[in-house]
Amino acid sequence: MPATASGGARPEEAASPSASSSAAYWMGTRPEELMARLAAGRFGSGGGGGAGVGGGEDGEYERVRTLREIKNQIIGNRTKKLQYLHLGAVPAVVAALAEPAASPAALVQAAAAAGSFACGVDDGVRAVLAAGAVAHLTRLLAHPDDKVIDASARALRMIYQSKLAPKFDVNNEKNMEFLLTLLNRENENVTDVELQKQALSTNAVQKLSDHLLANSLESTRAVTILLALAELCSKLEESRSQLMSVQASTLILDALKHACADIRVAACSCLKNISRSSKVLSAGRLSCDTFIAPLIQLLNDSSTSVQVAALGAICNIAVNLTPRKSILLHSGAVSQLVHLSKSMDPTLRLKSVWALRNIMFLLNPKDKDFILKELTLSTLSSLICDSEHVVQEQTLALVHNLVDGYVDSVNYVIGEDGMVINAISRQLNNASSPGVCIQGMLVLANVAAGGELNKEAVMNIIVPRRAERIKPSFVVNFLQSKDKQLRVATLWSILNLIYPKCEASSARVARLQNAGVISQVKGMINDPCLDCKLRVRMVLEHCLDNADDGFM
Amino acid sequence: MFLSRIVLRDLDSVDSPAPMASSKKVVTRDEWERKLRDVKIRKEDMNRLVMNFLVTEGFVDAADKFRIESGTQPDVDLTTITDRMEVKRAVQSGNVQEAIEKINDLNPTILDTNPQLYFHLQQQKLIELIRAGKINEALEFAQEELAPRGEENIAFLEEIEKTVALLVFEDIKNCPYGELLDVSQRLKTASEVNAAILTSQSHEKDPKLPSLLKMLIWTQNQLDEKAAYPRINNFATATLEDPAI
Repeated sequence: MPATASGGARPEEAASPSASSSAAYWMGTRPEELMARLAAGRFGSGGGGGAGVGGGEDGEYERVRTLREIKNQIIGNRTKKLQYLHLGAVPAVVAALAEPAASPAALVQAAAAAGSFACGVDDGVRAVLAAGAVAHLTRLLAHPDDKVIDASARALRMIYQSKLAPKFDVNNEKNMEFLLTLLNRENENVTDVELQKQALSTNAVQKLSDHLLANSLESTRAVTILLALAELCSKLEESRSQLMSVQASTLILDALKHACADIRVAACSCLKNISRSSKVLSAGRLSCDTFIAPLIQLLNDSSTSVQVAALGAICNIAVNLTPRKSILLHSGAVSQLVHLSKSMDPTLRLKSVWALRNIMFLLNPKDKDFILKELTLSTLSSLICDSEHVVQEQTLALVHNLVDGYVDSVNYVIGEDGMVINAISRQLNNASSPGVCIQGMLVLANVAAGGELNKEAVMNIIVPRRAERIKPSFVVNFLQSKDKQLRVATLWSILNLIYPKCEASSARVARLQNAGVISQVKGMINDPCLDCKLRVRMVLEHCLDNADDGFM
Repeated sequence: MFLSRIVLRDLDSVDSPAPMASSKKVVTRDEWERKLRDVKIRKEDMNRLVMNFLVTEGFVDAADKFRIESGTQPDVDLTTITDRMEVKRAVQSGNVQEAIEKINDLNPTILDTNPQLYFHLQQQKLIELIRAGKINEALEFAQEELAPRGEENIAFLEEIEKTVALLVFEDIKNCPYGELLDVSQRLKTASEVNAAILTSQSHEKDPKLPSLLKMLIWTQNQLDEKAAYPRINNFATATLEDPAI
């Protein structure tokens, strides 16, 4: 549900201060001046000095303008925030919040300013907390004016995002009630305030899931609560264990099969976040058999968002199931994932390939073969050349996981007329995204670690025999990359091509020399990255080594 | 596009070996057009796509007129678009301070949580001052507002240097970083702002039409490996070009 977008009180929209009808002076914008105005405004009518602030409406209008100006100066600007902090702005701003007769306009500006002070600046958070902003903002969540509620909720959200914020004690019955009323409101900003994991004390998960159990999944809050639970589980280990209690598990299981798509999505998010914990998974608490089958069914769901959410959960489960992945493999997951990898929707392609990549990781050769048989080399090659570079990247990572620790798998890469390795070559030559290049080079490095056949195959990609000399090997460009991961991966491929020493290796050294690769490496002796430096040294040593026997 | 998907499916069911040029199935123009006529696309769906485009790109008046003419309901409240469009328009006219104030009225968390956007807006402000020839103000602004951004985040330093460099040259239109003074720079910033606001409103910041085009390209690429068929090569005209035999 989109947050109500129109914020801010309207009257002071006039951009230039001189357009104001009441002020006969130009409103200064230096922090000290603004602070003075704010202070003068607080103390009401006919204040002394040249401030000329009148009483009543005029005074309120001035206050709003001043608050707005301060707000506009500090938002996004850490330097200004600190400046105003030192001038004691926070207590003044919070005082505006506390003002019983404050206009909605002033409250909105003050709330926004308070929230901004608490954003990204620790001292700001402390000052805001010390001034008692939380109590006022919470009270204002019940204000009749929607814009005030919105502004206060946003500010609270900012405050709670900081790790310095106090925990919202869920044990307090009153607090729990309040929490639930807030969850009931349709205003997204308001519900988001509860989603701040730091804000809730540790057994919030317990309480929330208890509530959900008590009221069944039919209530409209169910989605929000499930999402809140998912959010809580995303970073906190203890939340994950709590959610895996028997009752909560049953709840989630039911949610996976619920008629409402949003609930199915929320349930998948919960599972996705819970599976971030290898402890939970390996302790067998997430009884895989129960959850995996329904998740795989959801891969076929009529709603794309559900499919995407289910894929997310499966991705994480796959990571943490090592080494017991047989459950996944024999559940029909692979054929579903392969099917989705051919989808028109790029997100589905991306996530299904990602899941396959995770499954492939540290898998035994027999199972790797099984997956490749379903996937087929031609699909793999198409995915390497997918229109979306993120899909390309995940596919190459998949290939990387395939060849890692499985020597014979190289047949997949260079077999069938080199379908796969040619696809990789195409991508590497096309100045693809850095992520793609890194993964591509990692694959080549792994392949080159094998026997002669492998090394020659990689060599022909890096320095094509029909050397047209039109452009230098992409490897030279990669070695010049600002990205150290790319440099390192490239150096590894080169290293693996020229080691161990033998006649063929020497020939390769010569070819690399002619292509200008070795001189590029020589120029990297003082590479800022330690890892690179080491590989550079190793490459040069092996070049010398190969030369020693007079082959060069 | 849906048609090529259907043909692809048909071809898939025939067990074909790895495709080579000579074994590609050929689909003639007549066959293709006949199949095209058989594919039913609902007018309402087309309308929704158009409306989604108008709304995401912020063409409020057009969206409103379209709503009246076609009866298609916009997927958002058009008033929320007005706010966003005012911000965009302010940036496009070079009134950056106005834009900043409007964004903060709309949603004060956007600039606080989008340091890159905030920086680009301030950079644009400096560019506008330079464009207006207000050199002293520009220098002061660069020192007071841009330099701290560089201190807060060194990733911005390069951009700051480029922008400040404009102050050095006499003929700024033709100096090395003259493109910063182009209208295109304003449009770039405006587009960034638009996307940030849309995201903050939990809308997808990209309209669906371009995604459809992407899918069309993808489908044609897939089909290319198995068949020769009338292809769309020019997306502006969408004319079918006969298959090379």
